[in-house]
Amino acid sequence: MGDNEERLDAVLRRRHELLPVVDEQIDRWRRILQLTTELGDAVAGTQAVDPGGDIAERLGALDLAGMARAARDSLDALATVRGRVNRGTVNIGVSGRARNGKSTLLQSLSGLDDQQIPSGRGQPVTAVRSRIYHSRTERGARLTMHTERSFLDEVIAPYHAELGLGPAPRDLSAFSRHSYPGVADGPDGRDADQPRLGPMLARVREAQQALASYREFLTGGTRTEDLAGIRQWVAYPEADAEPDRRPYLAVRDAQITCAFPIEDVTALGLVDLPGLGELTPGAEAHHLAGLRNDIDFAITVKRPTDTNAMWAEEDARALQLIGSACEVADPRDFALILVNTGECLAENIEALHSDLRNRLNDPAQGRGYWVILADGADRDAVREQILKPVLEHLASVLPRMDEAVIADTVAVCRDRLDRITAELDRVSSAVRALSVPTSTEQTIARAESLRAEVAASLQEWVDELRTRADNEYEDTEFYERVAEVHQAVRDWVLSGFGEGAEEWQQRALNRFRVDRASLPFASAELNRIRVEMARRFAAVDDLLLQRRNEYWAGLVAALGPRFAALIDGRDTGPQEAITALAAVLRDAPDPCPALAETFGFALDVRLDYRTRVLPRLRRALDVLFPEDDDPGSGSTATTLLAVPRTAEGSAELYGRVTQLARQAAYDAQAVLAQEPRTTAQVLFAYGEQFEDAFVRSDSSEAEFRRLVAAFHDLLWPGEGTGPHAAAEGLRRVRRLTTELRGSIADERSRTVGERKGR
Amino acid sequence: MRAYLMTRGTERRLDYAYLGESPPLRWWQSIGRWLVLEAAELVVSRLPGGATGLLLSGIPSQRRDVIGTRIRYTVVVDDVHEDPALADWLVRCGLADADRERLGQALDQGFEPEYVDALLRDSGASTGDGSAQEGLAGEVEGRLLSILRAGVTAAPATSEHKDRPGPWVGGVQDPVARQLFGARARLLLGETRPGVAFTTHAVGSVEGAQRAAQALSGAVTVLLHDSELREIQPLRAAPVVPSSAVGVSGGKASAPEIPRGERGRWRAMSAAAVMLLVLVAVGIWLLAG
Amino acid sequence: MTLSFKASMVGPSRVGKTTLLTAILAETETMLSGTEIDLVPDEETEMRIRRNRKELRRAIEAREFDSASLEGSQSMVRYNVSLRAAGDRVQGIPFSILDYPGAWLDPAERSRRPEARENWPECEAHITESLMLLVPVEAAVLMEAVTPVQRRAVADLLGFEDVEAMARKWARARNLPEHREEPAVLVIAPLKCEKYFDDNGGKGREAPRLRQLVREKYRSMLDIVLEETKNRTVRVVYAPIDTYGCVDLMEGEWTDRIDADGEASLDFKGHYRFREIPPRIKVKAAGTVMQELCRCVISGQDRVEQQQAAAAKATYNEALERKAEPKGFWGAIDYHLSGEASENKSTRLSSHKAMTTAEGRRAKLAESLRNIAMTPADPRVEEW
Repeated sequence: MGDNEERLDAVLRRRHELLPVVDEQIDRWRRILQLTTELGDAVAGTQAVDPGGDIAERLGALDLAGMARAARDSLDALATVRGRVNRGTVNIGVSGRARNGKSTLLQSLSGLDDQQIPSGRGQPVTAVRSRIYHSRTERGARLTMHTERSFLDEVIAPYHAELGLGPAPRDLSAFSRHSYPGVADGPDGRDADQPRLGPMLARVREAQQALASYREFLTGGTRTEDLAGIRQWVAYPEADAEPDRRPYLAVRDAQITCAFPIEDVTALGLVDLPGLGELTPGAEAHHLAGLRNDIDFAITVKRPTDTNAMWAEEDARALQLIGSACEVADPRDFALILVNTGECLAENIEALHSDLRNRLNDPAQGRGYWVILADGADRDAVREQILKPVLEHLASVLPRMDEAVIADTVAVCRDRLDRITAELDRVSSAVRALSVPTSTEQTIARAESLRAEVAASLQEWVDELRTRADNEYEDTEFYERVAEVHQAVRDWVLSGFGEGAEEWQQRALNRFRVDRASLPFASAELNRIRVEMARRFAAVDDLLLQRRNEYWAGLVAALGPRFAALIDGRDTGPQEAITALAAVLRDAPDPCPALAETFGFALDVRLDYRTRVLPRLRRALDVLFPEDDDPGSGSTATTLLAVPRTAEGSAELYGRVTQLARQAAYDAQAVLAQEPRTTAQVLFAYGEQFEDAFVRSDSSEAEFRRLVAAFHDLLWPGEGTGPHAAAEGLRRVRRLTTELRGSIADERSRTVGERKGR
Repeated sequence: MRAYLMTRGTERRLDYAYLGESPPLRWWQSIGRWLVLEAAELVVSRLPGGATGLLLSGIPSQRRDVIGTRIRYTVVVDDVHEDPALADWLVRCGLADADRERLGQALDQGFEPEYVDALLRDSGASTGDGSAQEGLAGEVEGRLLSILRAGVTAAPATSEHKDRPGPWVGGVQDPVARQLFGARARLLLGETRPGVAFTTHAVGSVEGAQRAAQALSGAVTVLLHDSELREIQPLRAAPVVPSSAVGVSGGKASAPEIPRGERGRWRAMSAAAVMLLVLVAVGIWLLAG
Repeated sequence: MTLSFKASMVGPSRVGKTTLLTAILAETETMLSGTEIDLVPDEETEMRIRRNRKELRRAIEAREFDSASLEGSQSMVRYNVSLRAAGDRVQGIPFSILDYPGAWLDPAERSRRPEARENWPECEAHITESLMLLVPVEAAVLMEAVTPVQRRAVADLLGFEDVEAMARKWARARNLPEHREEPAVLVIAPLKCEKYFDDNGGKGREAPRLRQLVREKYRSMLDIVLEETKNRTVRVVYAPIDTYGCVDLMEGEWTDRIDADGEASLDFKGHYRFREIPPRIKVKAAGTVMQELCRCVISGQDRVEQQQAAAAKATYNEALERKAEPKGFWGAIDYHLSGEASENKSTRLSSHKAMTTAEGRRAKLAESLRNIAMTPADPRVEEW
């Protein structure tokens, strides 16, 4: 026995060592699968964007679905291997139809009892698939619960299908309200099925009636249970139990850990295989899928009773199914038929044994299935007559079986690799025949054309700015605005500076008397008028800002729809648009800092009243300074302001101050009237500088390429279809072909390497 | 009798020019250098051939040109002696600011600014359509004469003054001189002796007037606008120079172009004119004495 | 034609030519103060100047300055002035400056104006003999035109067409063999410049802009002169002149009008204000015109003397021989500066004492002429 333990541990260790290798290979194949899928999509894409084109024509002949299928085959094979090598235990499956003593055998093997593995004669059989693991230290059960969905899909839906009740209920509420017929009709309405379908209908009705008892457990979570209370979770209720209490319906999977009554095996697991051909619909397929990677050996239990003493057709089919779970190994290395002799008549035992000898294990056909006759309820017998020989057997055959499984997988993979390579060669030759510019060439060409396009329209825009900067250009709107503001200021002056001529003169006279001089009043008034005038002329600011906005709008228009597309969906003013463009270029995957900077430059146009006009306008208002800056020049201004302190004097002063104010207003308007030209010249200069920097700077060429590379789809949005898109698709096909070839080569070298290493 | 009107338009380019027709003979040309036609001058002339002329300049209009300067009229009437009352009124206009002002207003009423501008513009762009031009000129003259004559009816009768014989100079601010100037003008127009009476802004001294009198021939009467002269001063008559044209003709300035046919007649008459002048002078001297 | 030193003036009406002349005379008198030499206008000139002065006085005395109250001349005028030694009532050095309506240059205009037709030959003769062409420019029209429409009106308002035609005529005459040795000076004189300068009581700082605009706008006239005087040189003098000195342009008014071609255009009217109270006329740089004329005379005289001294009289004699009698510029030099005039006169006086006195006066006159010519030019004035 000790020898067995060592050998089995070695098997498990060996398996464990293989796991990362298998995982790596799975990763590579996943990559291959992904690339084949993408390649398929890319080829299909070229068809979609330019159906009649040359590219579509040539690539259309290729069928790339086969490549993906092949990759999937490999992955399937690898998944099987992985399931095998990933297991930390040697698993023995126990199968057998109801009332053949399967549960009893499991009890004997595991040391559990009726409370954990119900085996009552005439009672319903195991409801939940269970695994039982040997552990010397741990004891307990871990239950994985259904979700509502998995419950409806995996438990209820198969009944509906089998019973011909139409689609399963959508949700639990619908299930609870569902009206099930009293008698099962079956999908074909044949009465012949009544014996089979009747109990099925009864089961689903039971599930419906008991919904309240397990609904709360449909959480999808896991729970840990003490083995003492495990029965309700794993078995049909006993006859005397509450009929509507069926929590086991919520359990998807049960994993029990306990100490097997054996000494020298550490990593052993028992898998309760449902009776194949049993009542629960879909059970076979469901369990076989799991079975494939889950067990290293299967025990089929058959109890020869009066009615069940022959190796029936169902038995043969079940055995075949088990065998198919291990396609690479000899089924006879994989399965054992246990003739459960407990409580059986000797003649029945003999009848079965004989039947097995003659029909199943035809001596003429050489080696037959392994058959053991033992009482499943006899624990010692089970250990000595079944378990020990089985373990012994496994210790010797498992390495061979593992080897076979792996070899088979390697072969599958190699074959699929060859198929994919062959297909890829066809793709390559098709692609080679097609000539389109490379992506880089295309980017360069596109960048050049974009640059030329923008250069032309910017040139037009700059020409327009030049026209506006021309001496003869008539900015009528501006002149009218200036005339309007000038007129308003003049009216204000002539209306006694807003207070009325007489009032002004009266106020002047009053102050003359207080100050005993005319100069203080005159000086104060001139200062006030000067300030007010500068303020009033600021009214042209709106037009200056409008000109600047027009400049930006012109720039945005000149940049054309492609650049607009870069910031599409942002319905904003030109200033915001340029700001957004600058941000887009700056934050691009490959930033275009110089281009972004030119936008920053364009935004930096300063054209407001304060910076542009005020300095010159202030000079025009100099005439309103009561005293000259240079006192040595002999203040002529003072001679105008010194008047007699009489009514006549104040009238004279009014006249003179009005004249000074008129002159200041006139000079100010002349300054402003020169503004359109200056403004236009400034804007022209800015525009020219922008154009130069944007189109002709050192970095311009390079940044246009980056721009095109980064935003191709936005810049040429209409090109999801047509030859250009097909060419783009072809490039993608090329790229993927190359990548896939790389992956295949990689996989090939690894596989070879592994084989050498082994 | 023919009447001509010179003025300017409001627009800068519509400079002083005759409306319609221009006088065929610029008979005042010989005294041109003593006239400041921008100012209010009056010239009354009897030519040796018997023709008469009257020029009245500096008649103020209410119209102003583009830069705001007041526009003036100049009226020229040839053979004004045919309508003594009109002549009398025009002479008064030449000597009295108020009358001249009134004449200006009347002219303004008869020649609206738009009409004047249109006439000057048309003459600028001469159409070459002779008959249309003539019609236009006729209309201008008709309007002008009716305006001038309308003034006559409104004018008070003037008292008769006797002429002061011989060439003389006076100041316009001297009422006596003004009256005598009027009398001389009436005499020139009423009789046939050649002579000229004119006011001047171009000369301010007796010497200047003397130079004018020396340069001109015939009875010369000069009224100085700008002088301190308080009383009338006699002037020496021009020496009779047989070789040069006698009559109202400039010394230094070249003689006006006179049609060849007329020249002989002019010469023949000049001797008689001198004789007549002497006789009249003697007669007046006797009467005055 | 009298033996005088001649100049011609061309510019649109109402630019202030009479006022300019008044200013020229005033400044020349200032230059002559303290000498025994006077600048004496003939009576007609004096009367015109007196009228102008009276009008100016009236304008100055008014509360608001109205340059429109100054009459413009409407016909040809010849301003005659003489430099004369004190006590000498007859002789002197006579200058004659012709002013005539620019429109007369146009034969079509002349044909419609009898006066122009009659006076034109005289005009032409004067222009042909003029040593100087004086081009007054209304500076405000140039400077205040800021919008394109305004700028487009400038050429018409400043009468470029007439001015250029005149310049061509004058330059061509100067280039004739008989005048080639005579001096030739073209004076471009912007008037009403007070506002743009800060050297005569104003605060303007736009002298450079004025210079630039004049250069720009009169470029074609200068080109014409250059082109027409291939065989000689012409002195070009830029002399911005203050004729009032006490006024500032307060407002410029642009009014709609129809120009000669029937196009909508603008006219300009300046409104001025006094810059000091009481206003005093402070003429600036007007003396340049007299100075330049004197330079012409001096340079002519120097040339004669040089040629005589070098016994290289060919040119001089040739010039004389071309004419039946001495006249024109060389005749005037001969007559007024080489003693012929005083000799003639002293023959009449027939006394030794009188002859000595006359000779003394002649020397003084020549000296003052030289002094005027040598007086440093106003800093504003430039030779181009």
